[in-house]
Amino acid sequence: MNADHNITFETIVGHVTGELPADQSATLAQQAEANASLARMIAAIRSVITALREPQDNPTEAALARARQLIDLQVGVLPFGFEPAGLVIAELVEDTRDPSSMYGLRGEATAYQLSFEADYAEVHLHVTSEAGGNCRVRGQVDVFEPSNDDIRVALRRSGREALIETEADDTGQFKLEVEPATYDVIVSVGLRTLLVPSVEIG
Amino acid sequence: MDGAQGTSVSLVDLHAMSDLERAELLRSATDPSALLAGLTSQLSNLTLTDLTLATSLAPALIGLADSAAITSARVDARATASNAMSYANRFDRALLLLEEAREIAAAATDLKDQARVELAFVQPLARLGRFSDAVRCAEAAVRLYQSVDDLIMAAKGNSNLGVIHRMRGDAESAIRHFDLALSALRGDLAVEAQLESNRAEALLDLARFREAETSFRRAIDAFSETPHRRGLAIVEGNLADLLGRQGRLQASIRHFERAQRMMEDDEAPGDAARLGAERAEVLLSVGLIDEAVETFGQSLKVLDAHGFANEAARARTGLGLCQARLGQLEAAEATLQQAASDFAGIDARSGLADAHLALARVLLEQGRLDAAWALTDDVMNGDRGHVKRVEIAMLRARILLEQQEYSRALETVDAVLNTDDAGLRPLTQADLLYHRGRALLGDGMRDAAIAEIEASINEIERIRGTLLGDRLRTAWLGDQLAPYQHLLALALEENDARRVFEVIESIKSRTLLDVIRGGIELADQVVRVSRGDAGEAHLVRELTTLRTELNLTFDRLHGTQPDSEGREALARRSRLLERDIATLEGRIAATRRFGEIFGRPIDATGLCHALDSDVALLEYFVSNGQVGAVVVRDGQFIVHGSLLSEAAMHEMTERIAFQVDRGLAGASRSGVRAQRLVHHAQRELQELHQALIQPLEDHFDTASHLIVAPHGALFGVPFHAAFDGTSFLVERYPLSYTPSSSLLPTLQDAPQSRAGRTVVIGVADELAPEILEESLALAETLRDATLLLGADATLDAVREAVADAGLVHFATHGAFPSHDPFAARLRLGDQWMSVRDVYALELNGCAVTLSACEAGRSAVLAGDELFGLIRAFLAAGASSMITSLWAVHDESTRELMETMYRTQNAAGRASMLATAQRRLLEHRRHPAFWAPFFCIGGAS
Repeated sequence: MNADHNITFETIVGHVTGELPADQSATLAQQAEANASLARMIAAIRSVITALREPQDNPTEAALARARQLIDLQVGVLPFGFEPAGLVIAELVEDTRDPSSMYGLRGEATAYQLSFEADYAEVHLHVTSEAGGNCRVRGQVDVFEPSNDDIRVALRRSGREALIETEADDTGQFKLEVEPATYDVIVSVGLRTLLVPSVEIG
Repeated sequence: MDGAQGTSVSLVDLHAMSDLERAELLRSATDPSALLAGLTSQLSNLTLTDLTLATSLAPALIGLADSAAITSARVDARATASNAMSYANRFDRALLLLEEAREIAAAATDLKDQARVELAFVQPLARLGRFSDAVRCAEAAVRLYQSVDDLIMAAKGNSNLGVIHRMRGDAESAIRHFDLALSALRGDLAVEAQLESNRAEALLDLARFREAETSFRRAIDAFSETPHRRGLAIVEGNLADLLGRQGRLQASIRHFERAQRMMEDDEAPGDAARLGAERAEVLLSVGLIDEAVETFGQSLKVLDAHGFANEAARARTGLGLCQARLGQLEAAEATLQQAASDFAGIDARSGLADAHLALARVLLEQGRLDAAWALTDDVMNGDRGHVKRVEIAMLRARILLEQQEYSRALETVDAVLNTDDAGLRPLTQADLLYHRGRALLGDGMRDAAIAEIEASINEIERIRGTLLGDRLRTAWLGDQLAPYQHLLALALEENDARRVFEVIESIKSRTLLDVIRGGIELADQVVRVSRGDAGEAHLVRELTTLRTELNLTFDRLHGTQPDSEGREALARRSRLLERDIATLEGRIAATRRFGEIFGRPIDATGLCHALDSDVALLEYFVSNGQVGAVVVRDGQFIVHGSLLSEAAMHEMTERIAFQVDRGLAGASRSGVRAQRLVHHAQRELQELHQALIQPLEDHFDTASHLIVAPHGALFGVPFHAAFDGTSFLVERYPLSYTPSSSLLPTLQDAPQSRAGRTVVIGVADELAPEILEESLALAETLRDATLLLGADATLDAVREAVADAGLVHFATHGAFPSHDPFAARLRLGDQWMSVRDVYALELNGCAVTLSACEAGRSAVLAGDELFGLIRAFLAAGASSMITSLWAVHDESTRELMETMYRTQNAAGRASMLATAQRRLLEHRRHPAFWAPFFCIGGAS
C-alpha cells in the first residue's frame, strides 16, 4: 500500500506481469492516469522487472539505479548483507486461504500456507496462530539448482525498519515467531535477494 | 412471617407503612418495648434466612426504635442491623451503625446495652483485619456481661474472642476461648454448631487434624438440625478444606461442591468467594493448576472488593504457589510478597508464616538457597515455628538436597518422620519419603533409596485411588511424576530393561486404562444419570444449554477460512464453552459416588504372555531429557536410554508435520515440483528412521509385526512411514500402535463382536464428495452393511446402529483443535459428534474406522494421557481403531479405504491397512496421501 493510493504491491506486479484479470488491469491503468504516484510506481516496477528478471551477467548502471529506486520505493533500505543488485520479486503460486483449497480435504484448516516462486527458488510459508496471539511461521526455501549458498530470511513489518531475521538450515527450513501484520519477506541466497512483498501474516 | 410479640405486625408490614402509620402503630401498642423486641428478633432471624430482605428492612426498624425513644430498643435495633450488614459484607455501614449505638448506650449508662454494642463491634472489625480493636471490644463485652452476671452472653464474648485470636494466628488462645464458650452454651444447637466449627478451624491451624474433623462433623450434625443452611454450608466448606489439606482430595471436592450448592443462592458473595479460594487450594493440590489460577483470580476480586483482608491474603498465597508451579517465578515472588505484606498488615501470624514458606519455595526454585533458608529461619523462630515444623522440614530438606548436604537432609526428614509419623498427611508423607530416598541416594545407599522412592510412589498411588474423576486422576498423576521419573533413571543406570519397562508402564496412560476398565466416570455418563437433586438439576440444565451452543459453534467454524476475522472469535468462544462445560461436569460428578476399579499396569511377565511370538514391541519414553526405547521380542527386553534429545524429538515431529502440510497444499502439483515435496518429506522420515528405528532394528528384525507405544509428541509421528533410504517401515512390517502396553491385553480381551453387523456412516459434502463413493463402495464390499448417509446419519441413528455392530466405519469431516481436545469431533447428518457424544456410545468391542481429518490426533498430557477421539472411542468400547494423524485427502482416502476393505486379511486390521498403504504409495508417493492412517490395536 502507499499513502497516495490503496493498491497493493502484489496487484501492481500482477498488472505489470499480465497476471491480473483484464478488467482489473484496465481499471488500474485508468487509476494510474489520474494518480502520478501510482503511475511512477507501476513504471518503476515494470522497469526493474524487465531489467532484472532476465539473466544478465552485467546489469547496467541504469538498471541498478532503477532497482534502487524500487527498493527505496517499496522495500526501503535493505538490511546489511541483502544484495539489492540481485533483487527478484517472487510470485504467489499457492495460497491455502483460497476457499477452493479446502476442496478435497475432510476437515478444517487451522493453519494456512503460501508459496512464492521466482526463477531460481521457491519460498514456502506455513502460518499458525499461537495461543498468545502471535503467529508462528515455519518455512522453507527451495533453491532449484544445487547450491551451497547460505540462506538468510528476514521479515520486515510494513512501515518499520526493524527486521526479524534468521538463517535457514541446510534443508532450507526456518522458523520465526511474529506479531500478526503485513510483512515483506526478504530472502538472500548467496548474492541473490528474493523479495516477497506485502505478505499478510495472521 | 411470624408476627412481632404482642402484635401481628411484621417487618415487611412496617417497611410498607408511612411515617404516620408507624407513629400510630407505636401509639396503639400496649407494650412498645415488646413490639420492638419482636421486630428486632424478626430481623435477627431474617439475617440467617433472607439476608437481602434483612438489610433492606433494617432501616424501618431503626426508625421505629428511634421514634419510640427506648434506649435498649435503639441499641438492639442497630446492633442487629449491623450484624445483618456484616453478614452482607457491608462492614463500613455496620461500623457506622455501631458507633451510633455506642453513643446511645453510653449516654444511658446501661452496662448490658454497652456490652451488647461492644460485642457487635467484633465481627466487622475482625473481618476488616482490625484484630487488635476487635479483641479490645470482645474483652470489654465479656467484662461487662460478667459484671451483670450474664454468663451466657459472656460466653458468646469468649466465642468471639476465640474467632479473633484464630484469625490473628493464635490458635491455642482461640481454642481456650471456644472451650470456655462451649461449656456455657451447650444445648443451643445453632450456637453449639458454630462453636464446634470455630474450634475445629483452630485445631486445624495446629495440624490437629483428627480432633478438627471430629469437631467439624459435630458442627455439621448440629447445623443439620437447624434451618441455618448458610452455617451448614460454611462448615461443609471448612470440612472440605480440612480434607483437602489431609490429601483426601476426592472427599474434599465433594464437600466443597455441597457447600457451593448451598451458597449459590446466598447473598454474601464474600463467603462464597472464600469458599472458592479454599476449593482452589484443593485444585492446586490435585494438579489442576489452570483451573486453580482461574478460581483464585475470581475469588480474589470479590474478597478484595469486600474487604476480606485475611481471606484475600490467603487466596493470594495460593495464587502465588500456582504461578510458581507454572514456572512464572517472578510473578509468584511478587504475589507472595504482597500476600506476606497483607498478612503482616493485619497481624495474621499464621497466614504470614504460610506466605513466607511459599515464598521460600519460590526462592528455592530460583536457586536462591540462602535466602530460602533464611525465610525458613524466620518462620522457625517466630511464634508459628512449632506449628509449621513439617513444612519447614520439607523445605529445608529440599534446600539441603540442592546443596548436596545429603546427611543433613536425611536428618531433617527423619526428625519429622520419627516424631510425626501418625499425623502426617499422605501428600506430605509422599514428599518426605521421596526426599528421604534422594538423600539416601546421595549418601550412596542405593537400595534403601529405591525402597523409599517406591514407598513414596505407593503413597501417591494411594491418593490417586481416592480420586474418581478422569480429569482429577490424570492431573494428579501428571503432577506427581518426579519419583517415578527418578526410579526410571535408576533402572536405566542399571540397564535393567524389564524394570525400565515396568516403571514406564506405571506412568503411561494409567487413567485411560482405568477408564477402559470402567472404573471411573466419564463426562457424559455423569449427565445422563441425573438423580433429580434440585441443586444438580439446574447444573444439568445449564450443561445441556452450553453443549447445544458449543455444537452450533462447531457448525459455524466448519468451512470458515483460517485467516478470517470471525474464526478466532468462534474458536475462542468454543474454548470458553468447553471450559465451562468441563467445570460443570466436574461439579456434577463431585457429589456422585462411583465404583473404584483400577486397571493395574502390566508387568514384564504379563507382557510376554500378551505378545504373540512373531510380534515385537517398541515402547518409547523420555528420561532426563533423552528419548529412549524398550524393545520386547521373544521374551527378551532390551533398552536404549538415549536415542535423541527430547528437544530434537519435538523439532523432528514438527518438521514431519510441516512436510505433510506442504504435501497437502501442493496436491495439484506434478512433475519436478511434486517430486521436490516428496524428496523433502522422505528426508525428514529418514531422520525419523535413523533416530528412532535403526538403532533398535537388530533387536526386532525377525519379527513379522511391530507394535509401537509412542511417548509424548511421538504420538503424532507416522512410524510406519519411517524411511530407510529405500523403503518405508510399513513395506517391511505391518504396524499397530497402542497408548501403552498395559492396554494390549485390555484391547484383546474386549468382548469382540466381529460377528456383528457392519455400519457405514457417510456424510459427504461439496468439499469432500468422494465420501459418498467410499461409503457406497464399502457397503457393497462388506455386504449386509447398515448404511447411514447424509441427513440420515443423525446422532440418534448412529447411537442405535452401532450398539450391536462388529465394525463401524465413519467417512466424514473431522476436526481437532489442538488447544481444546474435548472439541475433537466428527460431522454427522444433523450435528457434530463430539468427544462427549462418543463417550456415550455403547460399542461393545467393535472395530472402528475414522475416515476423516485428524481423527487420531490427541492432546498428550503428562503421563502420556491421550485426550481426543481415540480416548473417547476406546472408552466407549472400541477394540481397535484405524484413524488419521493429519488432514486427509478425499480422493486418496477413498482409494485407501476401498483397497483396505477388499483386502480382508486374517492377520488383522493392521495388516489390511499396511497392504492398502503399500499399494497406494506406489502411485501416491507423498506420505501426506498414503500415510495418514494408523491402527490402534488390531494386531491379530
